[in-house]
Order: sequence, then structure tokens, then C-alpha cells
Amino acid sequence: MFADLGFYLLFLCFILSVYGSISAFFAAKTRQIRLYRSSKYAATASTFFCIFAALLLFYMLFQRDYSVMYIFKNSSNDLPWNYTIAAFWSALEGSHFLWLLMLSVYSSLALWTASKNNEHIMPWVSLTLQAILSWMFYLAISYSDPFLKNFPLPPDGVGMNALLQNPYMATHPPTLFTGYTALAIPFAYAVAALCYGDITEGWLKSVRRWALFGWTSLTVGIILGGRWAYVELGWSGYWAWDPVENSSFMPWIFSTCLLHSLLVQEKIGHLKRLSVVLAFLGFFFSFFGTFITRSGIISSVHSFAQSSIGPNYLAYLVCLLVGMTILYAVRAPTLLPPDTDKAWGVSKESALMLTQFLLGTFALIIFIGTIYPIVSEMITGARFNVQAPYFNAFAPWIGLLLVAAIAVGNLLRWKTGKFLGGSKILLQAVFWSLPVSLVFAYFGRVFESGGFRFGIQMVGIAMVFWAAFCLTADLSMRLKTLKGSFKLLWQRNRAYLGAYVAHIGFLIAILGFLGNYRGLETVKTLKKGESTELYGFEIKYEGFDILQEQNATIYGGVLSVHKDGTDLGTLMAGRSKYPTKPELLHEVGLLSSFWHDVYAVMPDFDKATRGETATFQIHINPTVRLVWISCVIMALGGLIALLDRSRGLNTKDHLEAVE
Amino acid sequence: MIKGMFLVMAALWSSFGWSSLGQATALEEDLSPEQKIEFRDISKDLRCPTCTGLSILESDAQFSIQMKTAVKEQVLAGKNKAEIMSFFTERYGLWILREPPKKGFHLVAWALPLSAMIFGPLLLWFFVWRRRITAKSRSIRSTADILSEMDRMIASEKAGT
Repeated sequence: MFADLGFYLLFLCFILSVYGSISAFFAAKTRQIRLYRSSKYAATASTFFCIFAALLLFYMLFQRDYSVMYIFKNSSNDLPWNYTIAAFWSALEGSHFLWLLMLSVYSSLALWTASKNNEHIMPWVSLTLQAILSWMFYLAISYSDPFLKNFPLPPDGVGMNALLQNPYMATHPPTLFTGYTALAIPFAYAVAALCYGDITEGWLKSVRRWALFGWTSLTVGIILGGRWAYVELGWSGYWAWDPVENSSFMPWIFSTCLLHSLLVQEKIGHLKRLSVVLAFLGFFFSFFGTFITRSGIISSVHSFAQSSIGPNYLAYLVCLLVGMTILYAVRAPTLLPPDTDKAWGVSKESALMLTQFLLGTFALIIFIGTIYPIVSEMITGARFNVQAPYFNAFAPWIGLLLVAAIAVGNLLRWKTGKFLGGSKILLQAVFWSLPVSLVFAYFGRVFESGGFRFGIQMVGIAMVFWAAFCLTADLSMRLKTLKGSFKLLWQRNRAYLGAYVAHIGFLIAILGFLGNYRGLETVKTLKKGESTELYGFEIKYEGFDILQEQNATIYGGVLSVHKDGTDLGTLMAGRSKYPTKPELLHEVGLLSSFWHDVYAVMPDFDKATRGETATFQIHINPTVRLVWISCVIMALGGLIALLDRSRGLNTKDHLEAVE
Repeated sequence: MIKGMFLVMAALWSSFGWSSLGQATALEEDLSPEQKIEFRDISKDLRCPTCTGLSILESDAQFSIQMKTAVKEQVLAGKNKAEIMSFFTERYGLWILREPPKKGFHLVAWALPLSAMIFGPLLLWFFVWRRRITAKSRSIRSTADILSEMDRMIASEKAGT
């Protein structure tokens, strides 16, 4: 009965969204504010109904109501409460529903919190958002119905995918989807700007806020996914350039671009049309990623079962692309360039433009690599899957160029070639970065790589520290103009402070990648009590253990780790078995310190003697922790910048309008 | 000079395998240090046929271990990388590689990014930097501008009817 109710609620949402988009269209055309309000109320109502439907699904999940197909397939009686919640988004229908729910909530939020300055374009925003929502509600009641019935009633479910029963996987999809759905709002504003024919005062502020929110969530979501791969899959890495990883990375790149082009737009009024395009691309690629996941068109570790939803997504993406191209071609000339006397040349805006170019090229490379299987199949007849080496051939170059751009770009000033003390700082930073890099290289065990690789790694590390020093010097210069008052800086320019923190976070991430570029590993079969030595770590097989953790039975070898006589602790590397699933999963043993992770998995053990001997694969991964730390710092930077309430209002448009 | 730069670039590219390497260690024990490097270099460029996204070096699948053993035998026999790679591509087709080969249609996958990186800055130079904003063309619409524009439109509409 609840399932029927849920379905009807979604159906109602679909009708409301269709009504909402139509009424918004006529509101925009006839300039009737009452029609717009009606559209806004339709969006709000559908949000409430959608939340209600989601609560119903949660309730049925906890009731173990296997009369619903989705619940039957993705949960079971043994599932603990936390993963019962996560089971909501553990497969196709549920994750589509979660996406829909979030998009609906954020759309209503965007409509209700819209600035008074944007009143004239809000009908277009509402139209765009509700048109997207209508399509997604349509899918939720047709191809991807989470409330589909199951008969006869089975006593137990098939069970949730065991790989997903992990805290990081429970939090990764909601965070990532928050990012994806938040990017729909800059897109809606971009469409509104094109339809209305102008970019106005409040536009920038709203777009900046939502893009920043989306960017922050995407950053956290992507890194949570990496962390999941690291602790769950047992191959000791966190990024494999998998098609779906790539397609979460592309929206991230475009939202990063958008934030930077909004900055130029705010300061000198240029790049309006670029912002519109970037807002579209960020949104488009978030759906492109889902298309890849859902359709199974490109093989990926993330693929859900083959589903008929694929062609629908494709049709939708094509419509989006064609529609937006036409709209842009027809309407973009109405977005007027500003009347600035001096722009570009050697200046901050040029540096930002170069950054856009670097990021854009990176996105292009990732896009080529991702769709290459399809393209090569169409042209040469043979499917060619592009894997990590291709991406790794380009990524370091782009990464290091970006680091250089961060350092120089932050020291440059707007609309002037003057480099106020900049060249001195650039040189001083070289001086300071060298000793720090040596210390880092010593603790990060870079010296062990030796030869040419060592040289390259050192260059990278030195560049990162150099950039960090340049950034900090710029910060201190700004502090000086405020008489060293940190409080004043906090009050006046949180956006700058946030950017500083986020850039430092990005540099730390690069540092983490550089230190971790190769694993130090060994495979050893050990008897109980035996030990092995790996790069100064002494690892001893203490004994075999079996434990129960929630619904999983975990068994494996306990290893103790010593270094230079000090006891670093123990870790357990083993296998886990879930009641509903036949396969054994890796249970990674991890002992982290700031500089290294001791990472162990157990590929095999002697079953007859219950683990008298066992085979361990042990990795020493330097500087991995920096990658996780960078996530927190970048997110912090994003949040600080979000707290800046004045940014976006003092635009050039605004100032000139006031004059 | 240019050749030297290419060598440097090639070495750089191969130095950044961000993923860690898997359990090739057991197979490697009777290889000399140079052979070990060659073995790793080759096996990281061959895909594991039964996994998604991994090289045979990172994978413990049965198939990968067989392939790694074949690589090892040929390394011990003194073959170089090109010979071993062509041995595998003749047997399994290009599909066994992890990055597009630099020939035929597959060159596009390499040429596009490279040309974007080279010509992108040039295009930026021509279309953005070099262009001085000369015309004091249509400026930002200030509120006053919009009001006067609207007045004009209303006036013309009235005149029309």
C-alpha cells in the first residue's frame, strides 16, 4: 500500500513539475508575477511530495518490506541500520530517486532564496529547473521506478552489494549528488540570462554562491569516493581514471573554471559568455556521468546492471546539447561586453584566462579518453579502452603548469602589468622552498626512488612549496595593507581568504600525488611469529583472528609493525564475508601515520591449519594522508568563501549602474 | 635538442604511475635489477583482460599471472619492449594495450590534446590579448539606459498604433 502511495506521489510530482514549467514559461512571456508564483508553489509542493515519497521508501526499507522490488534486491534482514539507510541509494532506481530528491529540494531552495534583484529572470530559472525535474520524475515513474512491486512476498532480500557496505560509500553518493544537483542552479541562471538577454546585478551573486556550494560538495564527494576505493578494493590506489571517476572529475573542472571566470566577470566585467558556457558544461557533464553509469555503454567498475534507461538519457543529453547550442547562438550577442579601457595584457585577468585554458584542456583530454572506446569502435570497428597510462601521460604536466599559474596568478594584479614586489617574492620563494622540499623529500622517502625519477619528483615538490610561499607572501602583503589585522581581513574579504585556503589545499593534494607516485610493496608468505622487513618497517605475523563486525564476518592475519625499535601498532589484513553474498571481499589492514600508510591485504592463507601460514601483500604508501587532508582543507576554503556575503554585489555592472 | 626533450618527456611520463603496483614481486625474484625495471615497464602497459581498468602488473587474476609469466620469459630471453609488445598485440590485437598506439587513427587521441596545448595559447593570444577594446560600443546597460530605451520603445509603439 505504501508502495502504491509512493508511486502516486511521484506521479503527482511529475504533473506538478510539468505544470510548473509551463506556467513559468507563460509567466516569463507575459510578465505575470502571479503565474510565476504559481509555478514556484508547484515546485515547492512537488518537493514536499518528493520528500514524503522518500520517507516512505526509508520506512519500507526499515520494515524490510520485500514486496517492493528495489528493497528485495538491495537489502536483507541482516543489514545493520546504517547500511539500511545507505541501501536507499545503493542501486539504479534508488540513486536516481536520491538525485531527483536533491535536485527538487535545491530547486525549491533556489527559488525561495532568490535575491530581489533577480526577480525579473526568476521565471526562466524556474522553467529550466522544473523542466529538468519533469524529465527526471518521468523516468522515476517509468524506467526507473523505485516502488515497483514484487510478488510473491519473499522472506528475505537478495542483499545490498557488499562492496558498498562501507562508511565511505554510504556518504560518497549523497555528497557527490549534492554537488551535481547544485550545479543545475548556475545552469538555470545561465539559461535565464540568455533568455532574458542580460546579466544583471544579482545574477553573479546567486551563481557564485551555488557554484561554490556545488564545487565544495563535489570536491568532498570525489575524495570520499577515492578513499572508498583505497580501503575497500585492496589494490592500494585511490584513482584509476575509470570512466565514471573521470565523469565526476569533469564537472569539478568546469565548476572550478566557472568560479574563476565569475571572478573576472566581477572585477572587470569580461567573460560573461564564458561563464554561461561553463555553467552549462558543468551541468551537462554531471548528467553525462550518470548516463555512463546507468547505460553501461562504457565498461566501468561502477556500472549498474544494463538498463533500458540508457537511450532515454542519451535523448535527453542530445536535446540539452542541441537546445543550449541554439539558444546560445541566437541569444549570446545580447550579453553585452563591458566598456573597459584596459584589460588583458600581462595582468591577473590574463593569468586567470590561462588557468581556464589549462583546466579546459585537461577536461578535453579526460573527455577524449573517456569516450574513446565508443569513438574508436565507430571508426576503426574495434573497441579500444583507454586506461590510466594515457591520462598519466598528460596529468602531471597540467598539474605542474597549474601550480605555476597559481603562484604567478595570485601575485599579479587586475588590469595592470605592474608586479608590485612580485618578482622579488617569486625569487625569495625559490630560496625558501628548497630546504623545505629537502625535508619533505627525506620524510616522504623520495630519495629511495633514485635516478631521474627522483629529480623530477624533487622539481615537482619544490614547485609546490614555491607556490605555497608565493601565496602566503601575497596574503601577508594584503594583511599589511590592513595593518596586519587578521580580523579586518576576515570581515572584509572572506572570499580571498577562502581562495587562499582552497589553493593551499589543492597544493597539498598535488604534494600527496607526487609523494605517492609509486608504491613500495612486497608479497610474503609468513608463518605465525615470522616477520619480514620492508623499507625499514619490520612487519610480524602475530596470529589469525576472526571477528564479527555488524553483519560481516571478518577473518584475517594480525600484523604488528615496528620501525627502528618503536612499536607502531597492529593492523589486520583479511577477508570479509557477508551473509547474503557468496564472494569474499578484501578487508584492508591500514596503519596510517602522517608520512606513510602501511597497507596490507591477505590474498591467501592456509585453510587446513586455520592460518598457520598466510600470504600478505604489504604496501608502504608515502604521503597518501596528504590527499585526505587536502580534501578537508579545500572544503574549508570553499566554506569560508561561501560565508562572504558581499562578493558578487559590488560588480562592475552594479557600480556603473549606480553611477 | 628536440630529441633530448622528447626523451625527458617520455621519462617523465613513465615516472608518474599514480596507482601503486600490485603483486609482481613474487615473479620478479630471479630477475636482475635492469630486467626488473623492464618487466615492470612492460607489464604496466598491458591490460588485464578480465578486470576493469587495471594493468596485469596490478592484478592477480589467473589470466594476468599467465601473461606476466610470458612477459618474464621473454625479458629473460633478452627481448626488448617493442618486441614483447608486438608479440602481445599480434596475439590479442591492439585491445591488449592500455593507451592508444601512436599510429593510424589512434594518433588522433594523442594529436588532439597536444595540439590543444600548443595552439590554445596562440589562439588566446590572437583573440583575447591582442584585441584592444577600441570601439566604445554598447556598454553595460545602466538603469538609466534601460529606462530611456523603454521610453523609446513605448513611444514608437504608440506612434505605430
